[in-house]
Amino acid sequence: MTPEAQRWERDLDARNRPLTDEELDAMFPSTGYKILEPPPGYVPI
Amino acid sequence: MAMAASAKNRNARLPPEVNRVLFVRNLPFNITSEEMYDIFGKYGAIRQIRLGEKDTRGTAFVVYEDIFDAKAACDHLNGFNVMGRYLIVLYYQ
Repeated sequence: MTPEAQRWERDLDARNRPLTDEELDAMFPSTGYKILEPPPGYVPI
Repeated sequence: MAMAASAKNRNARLPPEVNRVLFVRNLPFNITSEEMYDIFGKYGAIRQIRLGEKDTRGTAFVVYEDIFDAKAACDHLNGFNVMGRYLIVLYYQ
């Protein structure tokens, strides 16, 4: 792997690491939006 | 640019503004969770959806688990017609 590819992997991992609920709350306005409950049959693809 | 292969182009360089959070505008006011998950769920696993209320009606934040899914959704859903309204889909900064 070239150094550049390694740097790209690290960048991608950083932008794709799982987001915690706290991080989500911090990102969005605290009022005016409600968190939608996924429908019962929802299966993430 | 037309994405030749619809498969995830894993090694494509992603512009900096691309991220997993999409801000959607021009949604029908009476859209339901099922419809939101149906429209946005086609592109990948959804981490969370926040729907606007009262004065933020018609807007929503859609968070995907994977950045490439968010990009695919944004590319395809911008201008998508839902119940007569054309969606505006932007990356949320």
